[in-house]
Amino acid sequence: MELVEVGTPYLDRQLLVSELDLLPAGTQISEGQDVERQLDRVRRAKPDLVVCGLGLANPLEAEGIATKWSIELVFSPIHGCDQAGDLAELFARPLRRRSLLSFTA
Amino acid sequence: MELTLWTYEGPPHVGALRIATSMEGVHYVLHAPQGDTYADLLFTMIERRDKRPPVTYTTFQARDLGGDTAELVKRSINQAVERFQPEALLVGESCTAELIQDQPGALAAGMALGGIPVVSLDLPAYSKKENWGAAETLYQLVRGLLKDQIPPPGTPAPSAQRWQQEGRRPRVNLLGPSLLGFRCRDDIREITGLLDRCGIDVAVVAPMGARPADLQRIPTADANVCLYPEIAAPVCSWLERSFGMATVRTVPIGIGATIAFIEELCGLVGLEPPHFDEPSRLPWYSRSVDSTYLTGKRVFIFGDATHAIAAAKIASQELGFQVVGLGSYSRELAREVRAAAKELGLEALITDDYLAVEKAMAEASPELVLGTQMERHSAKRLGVPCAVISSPLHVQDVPARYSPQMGWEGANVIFDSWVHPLMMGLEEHLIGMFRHDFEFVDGHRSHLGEGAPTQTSEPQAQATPAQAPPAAPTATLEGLVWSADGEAELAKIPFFVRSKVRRNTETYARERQLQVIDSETLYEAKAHLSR
Repeated sequence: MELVEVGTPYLDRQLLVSELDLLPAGTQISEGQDVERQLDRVRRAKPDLVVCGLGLANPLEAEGIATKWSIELVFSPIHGCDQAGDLAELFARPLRRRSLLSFTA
Repeated sequence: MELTLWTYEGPPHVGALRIATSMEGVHYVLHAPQGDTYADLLFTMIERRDKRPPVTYTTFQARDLGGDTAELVKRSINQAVERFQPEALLVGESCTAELIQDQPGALAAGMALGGIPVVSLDLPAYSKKENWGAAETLYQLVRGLLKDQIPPPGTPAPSAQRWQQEGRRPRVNLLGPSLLGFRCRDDIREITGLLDRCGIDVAVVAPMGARPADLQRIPTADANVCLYPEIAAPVCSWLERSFGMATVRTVPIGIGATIAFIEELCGLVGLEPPHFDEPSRLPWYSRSVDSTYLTGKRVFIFGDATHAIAAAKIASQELGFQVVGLGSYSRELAREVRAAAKELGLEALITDDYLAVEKAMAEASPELVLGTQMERHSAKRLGVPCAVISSPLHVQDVPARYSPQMGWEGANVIFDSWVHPLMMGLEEHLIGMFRHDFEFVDGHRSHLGEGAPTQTSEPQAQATPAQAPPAAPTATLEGLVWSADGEAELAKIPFFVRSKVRRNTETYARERQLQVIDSETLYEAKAHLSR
């Protein structure tokens, strides 16, 4: 998986220093983002999947971009090796559904 | 201000956002911290909107407060105008931003924005709520866009029958339908069709689907129809005062109200009301024999004022229910709700505390609840069937199918959606007859979807079927104890009156300072209360 951008409303760089170190070098990080500019970047980058909040999910889907609700990553047990499969499943689910649906005759 | 887990209405800026998002070509710059951007998902999730609402939040953070937040407001306004090129701009602040007193409206007024109409919204977040905010926003927007058209004082009011001289059909505006309102999308279609049958055209529908230029056409109509008073009453009154436009105030929800609406409107514009040949199935369905079992069903009603008042009238007159509770969270229309309740011999419950509503609901022992999505939760907890009649909504209350509340088809929809949650006539009879049979124990009430009787949830435990081994005596809060045979006898009583019998028996026992309620106490209480 190629990581395009990581955005968050508030980033405490001291608290999250060890997590930030795990990101691939050169990953774009945005904090407290201007939502319109961020959407411009998303449209330009055309990612295969956007992990985002419920306010943006339907608008992005309507533009043809697959989304995963970020809140599911908060509510689902996804930590450690045991849950890694479930985590992968969370990312795969919206992509699988999109390939499943068809409205042609 | 008080802390709560849930609320019927949001703060007034959410009402303003409802107006902006309902319309086309309007943009709203909202001075608000990051956390307030949650309002987006009311539209993208509950209404399944495919676009973000047309709002730019200034999203100041705690660390911005030491700096120049006024500069942030101006930057946001400039960026929003440049990006969205709106035909009208709303500027306001959320509850949190109100405290820093940046006066974003005044800032916008001092900016060169290329002549775009700017409406500054002053919505007192700590004393008013969402519907008030929506009504005020619609009023300010219409007033701002029409201020150059106001006729000079002393100009005679235009006749609502002037279409007769102008060689055209009469035309009216439909005011009030908005996003997050209850079934507004479908009501517009139903009422537009109904008016067409009467020979009346619709000039402007607002706010839903209107552009600022459409609002400027409002005075070209012969009259205004105030479809949703929560949103449109202030703007209709202003159009009456300033333009002499008459307002039709009957809300056409239910058969009687739809007839009254047609008569009021046709009378106003000078048309003979057309003959409708059995336009709705509700009157016949209600007279048909299966509906005999609806007679006197106890109904508890809570919602916005428009829908609660309409529901009370339909329930009592058109379905033969007994209304045992009527209330609303719409404080602005509390007087109308109180009057409707008084007609039914009730005292209206005016509150925005959902726990107070749940308490009143439990005390009224209804067999059906008509409410908002919160009453659906409360009714579920109490094991009472429920139909939703009013905002606030759940995503389920925005159905894919055509499902209006107003007019003839609205009456059909109401009959189905209120009657289906109830047990149907013969079904109720059979359950009474076979209540000791395992297939007819409460857990099998398919229409309430309570699942198998093995469940151990609280209402299920109370509804232990008679053939189950009697449980250990159960104690109430004050230490009053139900003996096993008392519980067993109580279980034989039909579920829809059981909680009331339980309460009455406990009151009886308490008055007599009894410690234990057995089957004998139950029957003594019954004999005592039926005296």
